[in-house]
Amino acid sequence: MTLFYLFAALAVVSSLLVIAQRNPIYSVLLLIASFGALSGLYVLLEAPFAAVIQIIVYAGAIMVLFLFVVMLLNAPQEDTEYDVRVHPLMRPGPLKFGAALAVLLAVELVWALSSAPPASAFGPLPEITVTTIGRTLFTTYAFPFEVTSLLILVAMVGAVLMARREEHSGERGKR
Amino acid sequence: MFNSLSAIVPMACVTAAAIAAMTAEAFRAPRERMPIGPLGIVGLIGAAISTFLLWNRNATSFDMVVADNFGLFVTWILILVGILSIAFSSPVVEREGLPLGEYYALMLFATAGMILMAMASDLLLIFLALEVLSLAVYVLTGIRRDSAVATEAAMKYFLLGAFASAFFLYGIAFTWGVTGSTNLTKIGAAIAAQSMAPSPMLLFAMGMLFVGFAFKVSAVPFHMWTPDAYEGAPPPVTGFMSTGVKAAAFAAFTRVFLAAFEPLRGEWADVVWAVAAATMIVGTVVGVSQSSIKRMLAYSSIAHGGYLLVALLAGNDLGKGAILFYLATYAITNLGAFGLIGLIESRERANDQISDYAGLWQQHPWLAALMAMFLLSLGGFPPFGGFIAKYYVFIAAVQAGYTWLAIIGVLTSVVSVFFYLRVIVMMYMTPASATPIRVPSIPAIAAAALVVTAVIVLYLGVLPAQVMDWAAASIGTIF
Repeated sequence: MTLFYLFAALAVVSSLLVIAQRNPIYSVLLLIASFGALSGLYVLLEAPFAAVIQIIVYAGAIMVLFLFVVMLLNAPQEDTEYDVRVHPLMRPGPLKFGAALAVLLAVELVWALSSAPPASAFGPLPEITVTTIGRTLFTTYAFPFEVTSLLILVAMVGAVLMARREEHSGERGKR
Repeated sequence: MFNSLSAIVPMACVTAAAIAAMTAEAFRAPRERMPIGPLGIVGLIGAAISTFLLWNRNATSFDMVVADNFGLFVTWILILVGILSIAFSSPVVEREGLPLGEYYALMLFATAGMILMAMASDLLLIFLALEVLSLAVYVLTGIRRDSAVATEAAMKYFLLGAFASAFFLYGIAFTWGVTGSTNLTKIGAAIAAQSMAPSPMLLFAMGMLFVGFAFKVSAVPFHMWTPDAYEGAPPPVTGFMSTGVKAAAFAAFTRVFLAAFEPLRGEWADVVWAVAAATMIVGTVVGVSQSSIKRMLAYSSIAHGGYLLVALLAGNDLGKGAILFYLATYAITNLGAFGLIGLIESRERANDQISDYAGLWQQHPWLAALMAMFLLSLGGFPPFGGFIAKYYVFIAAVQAGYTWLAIIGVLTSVVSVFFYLRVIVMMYMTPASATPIRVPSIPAIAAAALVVTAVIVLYLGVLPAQVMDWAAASIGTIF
């Protein structure tokens, strides 16, 4: 239980700090901390695979993508027409939208906690561990796994083709 | 588990050719001419031979790829589409200075994905195949990077396609949640067990899958991307994606809805009815008002998707055979038309307005005659393949009790003849403008492809019995 409160506090605090930052890069870094705390919660829920995936996909891939975008846009400070001393959250647009979302979330939370858990439309889920996933992936789903490599190859060829610099301009038609 | 790999041989042949094309490009000196296109054709011929040898064998690999006759028939269509697209591409690739190796490699990767999609019997594999072919086609659409139209088309196609893929994936996830499997046979059994009272979750899953497929076959109201993508892509790519993607998507569509989700026919029949009618009507009516021949053919291909949906909805033996026959004739005819448009384009002028075709008959009588033939076949005139294909679709619809849908189909066909004939009138009866189209010499490979296309269109129209028999034998093995 101590661990739960530790991770939960970490997740809540870092999430709050994400939206309290002025510098988007700090926000992104704090979001990684929040994701790390969430994956700790997953481990406590005995879902180690989800925990690892959370780290690899969210904290790893997606946050790196975010960082790249933030740095490419070259916006260490939020450009704004408002007075810089007004905190971003206190500006009219984000304030209204954020308040609406917060109310919605609070209502949902109360509703979910107060009502009894509904009967699931899905059947009982099989026990999912890293071992079973790994075994299925390399036996039953070996072929789809290989096809995924083909998919990644196509994506790479496409990305290189779209992004590479023109080395022989003038050879192309002008249209 | 690895006792039989035979069912994936056609797809593996094409993938190997694609990787060979990539490797060849890596060793190519910057301006060296290298026969990468013919290399791809060799791989496709290998795939065709293996498809021929697999006929009537019902081979299965990994419990996920089934080389039944249905899949093999569609594979033949796809291989033909691949070979003809590569043949039509060679003059365009040279004229536009497109990246040689990548262009053919992506076209071959897309073909491999299409073949896999036609043979996959697992939703997960269908999704992966769909993504392989979609990614390759997105890039091919925008391969003319210096053209704003092409970039816009690729961007639109990519964004909407990504949404559609998400829908499809949601459908797969919910189907798995309800039935506990992604295997089509097991899904079919699970659905048959609860078909009397399907859970809302199952209907939701089915709806999501339907949206994903409807997007890929560009059915109304998921057709918005079609005219832009078809206009922006180089014409041989348009021919390739308007036929190959449609054939592969319809193969998977048929497998999923006429096999796995067949017990729920009562739930989806009305939706497909409405979508089919809307697709035929919108495709035809909007097609009439187009002034660009590419956009006109884009709307025509939307309308043809509607006729295929009619055959799918009919769902009887005649209807299933009609899907395959229609896919074959439509694919060959449309490829011929877009191949010809590609030849008529020039570096200075797009030549894609219908008015540009004025007096083509005087300049290039053969090209005009072939174009007229393809357009008449698309419109459903005898003695070309399109007539027989439409005839079977409507007969199947009437037999299945969808008389009104057949009437809508016949009426829209009649209206569509108007816009096909407009081009023919332009070519034959309007005097040429001051700057008529001048097509430089046509490379032998493209000329051969044109002749082959024309011969097949005539053959399917005059002697359809043999191909009809194959189509009937194809649907006999499954469902």
